[in-house]
Amino acid sequence: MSVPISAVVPALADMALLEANLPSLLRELDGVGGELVLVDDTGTGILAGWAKETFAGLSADRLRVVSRSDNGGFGRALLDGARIARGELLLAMNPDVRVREGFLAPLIHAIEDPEVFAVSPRVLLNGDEAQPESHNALRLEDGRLRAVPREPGSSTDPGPIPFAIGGAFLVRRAEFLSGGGFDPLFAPFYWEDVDLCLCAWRKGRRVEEVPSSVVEHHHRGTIGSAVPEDLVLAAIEKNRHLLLWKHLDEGEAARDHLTSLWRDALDASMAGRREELVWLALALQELPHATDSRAALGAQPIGLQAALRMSEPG
Amino acid sequence: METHAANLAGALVRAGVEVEVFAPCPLDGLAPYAQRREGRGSAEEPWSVTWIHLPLPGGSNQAHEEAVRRAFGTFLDAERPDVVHFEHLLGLGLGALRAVNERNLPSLYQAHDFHLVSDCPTLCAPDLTDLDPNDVEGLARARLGREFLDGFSELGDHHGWVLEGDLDTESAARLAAILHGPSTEVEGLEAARGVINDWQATGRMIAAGVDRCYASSPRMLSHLQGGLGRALEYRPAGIDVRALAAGASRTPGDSLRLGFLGGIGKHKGLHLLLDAFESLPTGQVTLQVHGGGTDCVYVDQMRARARDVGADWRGAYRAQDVGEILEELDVLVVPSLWVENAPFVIMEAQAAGCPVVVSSSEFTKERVRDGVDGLLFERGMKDSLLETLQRLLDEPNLMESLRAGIEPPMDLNSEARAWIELYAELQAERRASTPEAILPEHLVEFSGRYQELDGLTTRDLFAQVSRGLESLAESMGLDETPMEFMARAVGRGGRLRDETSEGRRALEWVEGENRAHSVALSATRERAAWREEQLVDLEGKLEWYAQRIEQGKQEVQGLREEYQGLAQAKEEADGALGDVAKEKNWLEAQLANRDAIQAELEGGLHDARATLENFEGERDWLRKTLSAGRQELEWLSTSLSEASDRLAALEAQELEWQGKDAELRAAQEERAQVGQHVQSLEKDLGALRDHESWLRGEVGGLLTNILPQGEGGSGQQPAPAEVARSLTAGTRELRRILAELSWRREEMAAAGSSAQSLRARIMGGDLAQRARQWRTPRVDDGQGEQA
Repeated sequence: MSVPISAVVPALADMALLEANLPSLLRELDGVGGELVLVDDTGTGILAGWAKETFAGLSADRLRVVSRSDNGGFGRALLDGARIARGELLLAMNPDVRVREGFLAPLIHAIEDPEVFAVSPRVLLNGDEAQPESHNALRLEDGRLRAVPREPGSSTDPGPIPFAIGGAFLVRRAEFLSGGGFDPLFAPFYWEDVDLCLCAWRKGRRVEEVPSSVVEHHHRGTIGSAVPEDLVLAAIEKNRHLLLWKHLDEGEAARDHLTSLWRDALDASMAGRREELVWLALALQELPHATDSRAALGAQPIGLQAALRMSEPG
Repeated sequence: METHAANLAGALVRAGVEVEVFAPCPLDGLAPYAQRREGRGSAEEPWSVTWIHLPLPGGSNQAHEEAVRRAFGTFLDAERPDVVHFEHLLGLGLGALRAVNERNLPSLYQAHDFHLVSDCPTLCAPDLTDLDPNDVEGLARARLGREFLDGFSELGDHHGWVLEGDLDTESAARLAAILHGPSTEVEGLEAARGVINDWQATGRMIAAGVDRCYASSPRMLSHLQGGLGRALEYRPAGIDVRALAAGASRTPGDSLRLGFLGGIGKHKGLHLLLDAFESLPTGQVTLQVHGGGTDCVYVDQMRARARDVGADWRGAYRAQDVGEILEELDVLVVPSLWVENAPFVIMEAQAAGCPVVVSSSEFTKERVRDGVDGLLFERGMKDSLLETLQRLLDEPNLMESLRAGIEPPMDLNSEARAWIELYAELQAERRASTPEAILPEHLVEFSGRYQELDGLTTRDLFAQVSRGLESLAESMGLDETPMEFMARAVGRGGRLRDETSEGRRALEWVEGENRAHSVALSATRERAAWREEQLVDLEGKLEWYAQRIEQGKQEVQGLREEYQGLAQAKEEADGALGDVAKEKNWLEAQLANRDAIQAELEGGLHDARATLENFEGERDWLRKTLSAGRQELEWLSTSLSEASDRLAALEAQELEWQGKDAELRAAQEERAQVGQHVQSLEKDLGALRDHESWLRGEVGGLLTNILPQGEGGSGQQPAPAEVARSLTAGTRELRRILAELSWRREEMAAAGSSAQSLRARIMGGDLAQRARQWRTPRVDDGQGEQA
């Protein structure tokens, strides 16, 4: 039996967080006849029993729990959930995202446009209207890729964004699965959502933010609570390099980037900023994988720089 | 860097350990705390040392500690050691340890001297006497003594010691006073004690901050444990015996070959050896002196002295040449004046099979068994040294015996192996005490790679990145070589250049500020100089004032004494004044008494005068009454005559009035009654006359008594008491008289009443009217109405 939409929530054993955030999501899904797929990424299967007990009144059609045999991280767990989901649409959600009432309908409406690959609700950091995490621009400056926040503006119409945050976005499930989900190059985490959307932009698709759909992102219970900060930072910076190495498709830009990397390496060595060398070394260790991903992506109709330009309004 | 540290680094490398040494060293022209790394050791046994350029002492201890913390931290971050082994902390101090602990690195400290408990690691005072690490005051005095010696440029780099005769008599006496004089006379002693206390507190913190703390000598261990407040372990230091073994096969020469080997400083006692050598028989003994030092004045003196006594001055030597040097010696003499707590040279000699003659101390006794493998002599005593050396000449078998008694010291390689075992132990302990973060499973592999890269030295990390970037360029189809990319990168600009520029701008700003401050400082100094002059002037004035105050004090003392005299006089005068006051009071009482008496007299006089006036009024009234009585009497006589006439008329009329016989008789009876009454009145009148006469007499007497002077108008003034008595008596008499008068008045009133009654009965008409008008005259005004 197919359903219009499946929300897939990969989760670790943070029951309090789930208890706080799932009910509102379930209500939204009820409104459109959707289902919730909770992916237990603890590797222990602890969430199945908990969900059965906590949401005892829910039918198995509305809430399903998938238990992984090991802890695979957000990307793998999401892919597992997407595979068993039945919805035409796939709503990827982090457990620390709390949806506001009425967030779902505008998203579904926005993705009806076939040119749109993914849509993102307006994601408010800790519920703060002044901190929309989803409203970004992606810039390549001084040989380095940076995501910079954009002024949100007052329009409630959907608008282009370079990428939808992995913790709350809507795609067509079939498209997501056909691309294999997130590129495992970006394990353990970060920048995989940027890569997914950048690939779409480069193929001539669009990614949009829907300001009338609002969720709150309360950073808790996910990576930050389980992983030392220096390791998180190392993953972010490693993947920042890998993303560029996958997508840089112009000789001069690549040359410019390499020059910057040499400059940064020398700088870091001289100034004692060892961590920058470590990040770069981590990325360089994965260069063969990056090369494979680059090859898999192949030549795209739109170059990286052009895609970045297209992802900005106007 | 200490020779032993360098030798140990080589031994550790030989044992398979990577060694990076960090040590202070002057790096002329470089910024404070600048670091430079250079390779040491051989191609087979490479190790490196990173020199740090420490600024000269004088800045803030806290700032220095922080700078060392950062500098050593940079070194640690770049070199990523597994264990930090402190062989010495001279110039580095607590900052180095803090950098280690911030990185949670295992660490150990091996003490070869007393650096942690004394700012003088040799425990040797400026006059070459021993210091006790527990004697804070002694250490403070030694510090002040060294500072005192700094004031004598002729001593050069004196290292804090002087020999007898180096100072003039007065300066020597001042130094002796600093070192041994009464503490109250040693300027700056309290501050120096504070420095020593801080130093020892830092030493305790260092000892507490490392995982393990060792001493290379049992005696040193016992001394340090108390001062550092923690348990230490004994770990003997080894020496590199490889180049020394050759000395063991030496062949005896024709004469006794003595040698001195080591740094040349006063505390090493070379002068003592040269003096003793001079006294030894010529031709039987030779002396080689190997070594050098920065105490150039002393070195020059010793060089000259060596020449004078015929010793062979060989000068400085390399560490690797020690074996060859010892090979040429029969005996090594160590005439140290200090306690010689880590005598590596003795161990080297022993390793080379060379007996030693050593000044005796608790430390050298640990290394040398007197008469077994060497000889000990009394430290600092030339005669004892001479006698000991003479024994070597006099006792032919002694040298051989001593040589045979030598036991080889610990080999440096053994020491290194022992350390490596300890390093592993420390690492294991640290791992066990550091809980590993429990990561989600999918992060374990990534975390492992991260940790591995993080553990690389910065050099190795950069090398790995360089290789990776080369591959990256290749994968992107770029033809440039790494050198070409680096050349582009250098011209591109980056954070380091930005930060350098910013730092330069900041430096320029600081320099500008410094210049401004210098100008201000210069002005302040000028001002201070002016103030100084003012101060001198004021001090002169102050001195003058002090003198004035002294004079004033003396004057005050004189005045005080004078005041005491005056106070005594005043006291006496107060006594006299009291008597006068008493007398005055008595006189005033007398006067008041007299005034009261006078007032009483005056009152009495007034009363008497009033009484007199009353009497006079009474008298006048009586006179008038008497006169009226006379007139009454005359009238009565006239009335009687008229009554007789009327009686005659009546008798004449008796005939006429025959029926009126009864009336006639009644009239006759009435006439008889009137006659009786007239007789009574005449008697009363007589009595009144008598009374008036009496009254006159009484008043006259009274006046005579009361107012004798007033009446008399001359004569002696009566005594007040007498006057008072007279007045009292007079007053009493007057009262009695007044009573009498009152009685008389009543009598007179009664008589008047009788007369009126009689008159009314007899006459009526004018007589009755007049009788009714009789009234008693008023006493107050003395006037009565005239009848």
